[in-house]
Amino acid sequence: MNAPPSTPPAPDRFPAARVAPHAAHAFGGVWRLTLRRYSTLTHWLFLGGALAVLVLLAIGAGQPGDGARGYVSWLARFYACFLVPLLAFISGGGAIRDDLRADAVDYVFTRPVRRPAYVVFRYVAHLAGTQLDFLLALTVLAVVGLAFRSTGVMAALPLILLAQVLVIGAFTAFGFLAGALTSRYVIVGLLWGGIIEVGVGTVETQLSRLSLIRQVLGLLEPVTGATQAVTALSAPALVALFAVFAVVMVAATAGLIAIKELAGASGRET
Amino acid sequence: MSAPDLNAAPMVAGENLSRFYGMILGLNNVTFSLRPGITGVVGPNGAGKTTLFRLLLGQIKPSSGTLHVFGEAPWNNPAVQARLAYCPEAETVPSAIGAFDWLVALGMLSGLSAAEAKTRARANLDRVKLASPHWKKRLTALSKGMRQRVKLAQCLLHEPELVILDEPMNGLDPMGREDMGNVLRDLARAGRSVLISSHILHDLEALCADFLLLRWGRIPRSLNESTSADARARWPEATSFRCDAPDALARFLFDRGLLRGCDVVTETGLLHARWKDAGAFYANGSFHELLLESGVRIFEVQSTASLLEKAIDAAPESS
Repeated sequence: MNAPPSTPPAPDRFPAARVAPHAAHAFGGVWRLTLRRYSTLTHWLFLGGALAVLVLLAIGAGQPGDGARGYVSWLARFYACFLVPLLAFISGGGAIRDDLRADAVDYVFTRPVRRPAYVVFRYVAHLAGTQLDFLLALTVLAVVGLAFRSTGVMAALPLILLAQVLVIGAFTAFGFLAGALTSRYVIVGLLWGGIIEVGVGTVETQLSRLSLIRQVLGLLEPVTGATQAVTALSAPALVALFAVFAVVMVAATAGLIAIKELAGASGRET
Repeated sequence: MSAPDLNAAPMVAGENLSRFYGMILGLNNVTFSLRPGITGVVGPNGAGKTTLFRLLLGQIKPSSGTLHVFGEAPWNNPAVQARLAYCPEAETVPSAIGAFDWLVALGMLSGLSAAEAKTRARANLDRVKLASPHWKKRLTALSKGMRQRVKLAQCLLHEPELVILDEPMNGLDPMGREDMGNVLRDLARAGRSVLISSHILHDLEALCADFLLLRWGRIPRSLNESTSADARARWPEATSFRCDAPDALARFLFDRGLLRGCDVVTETGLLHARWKDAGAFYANGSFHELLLESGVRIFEVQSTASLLEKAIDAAPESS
């Protein structure tokens, strides 16, 4: 049993795996595990509560005196450029932290899926669920806008929707990286928000281009009516920028998870 | 229990293997090999069992030394992971998913198509005897014993060559332990290997062909030799008798030079006999005649302290 081994046998002396790893099937497995979380009663109750709060905020934002412009501006500035990135970041960070918990590490990361591939699969599945949640939220807000007879809402929707899709993709990926780095990923987000988005992003120089929110505000200029001091990127350039940002974040997360030791429930219990 | 195939190539081979967590000792310079069959991994808490499992699974890297599983380094190696399965000790399971759906998803992660994963999920939930009304229930709504069955079922989906089970008997009633034992014996008969840790030593002794004893991150050689298949074929070193005259029986056995020592509890009629040469008492089936000759009425005879229990209780020693 515990006699010193001689030279270890060559791998071909052992039978091949009876089930070969399969990337597409593995993606299906990750997809099922992820979307299952979006179909629970708890999730729908949380979403319902969040939408109710959002509707109350929207009603508050659309009080007489502000007019249609005021509501659309609130939608672009508060909802698309503050609430969506914040929640997407928290959701992304939470998703990857969930995957580093015992119920995933002990069962998922012991399966024959390359860790970088798993991170990509997880990001895509999580992104799909998050986009659907926020699509529902935007629909509700559009209905609230129409209830205020704010005709500008429908005209502004395509741009706001584009901004929402881009922001969710980028900030979910950023949340993934922050969550992979530390369990206190919210602090990373606060630092980023404070230094880059609020600090550098509000300085009227080329440096403000570092701020993703600033870029989105540039995209939404036709909606908000506010003009940015720094020339805004065109929509295709902005899409490319956000896509590159998301890819870099997900790649960094994948690299980090690939080299990380995953100890599961009882890592220090020897 | 079937004897280990000593001619088979070791599927796991570790040489001078160490793993430290900063200043905390996990495994300390151990050298071992594991052959096909059911192998019990035994040791007190903190002995290094879970560290060994995580090294085998490729979740953590050795601090020094080498480890080969199926001839390859397991760290982050899908080729090795495709042939392994793991049932962790922790009770943590995903909260938002039912047993059947969870198994389907994990089966797909192992490479199965959705249809095949569903077929195998059903078959394996049947195999571990989880009643079908529980299949759709959320994992967290299942009892501890049911969860253990589901955890075992997820190990069997992709027909792994080596199944690693960390305390799988926890929370199982005797019938559940028997069911689990039967599944593991079936696996062994089918040529698969099982590495199992448990604090329920009697179950392990009934199941395992071989043992690996760990203590303080080391593999004490003498303890492992004392639990080898050869050693377990020997007579027990102590026996308890419940009888109507334990003093008389003790004198009788002492007179024949069989005892090294004994404890007598007159109130309960118990004699705990430690043999000078157990073979002289047990060999050739003559002990019945000897006991009849003593003239003492015997109600119960039981060997005490299994070899595993003794090995674990033994004083710490170096390897």
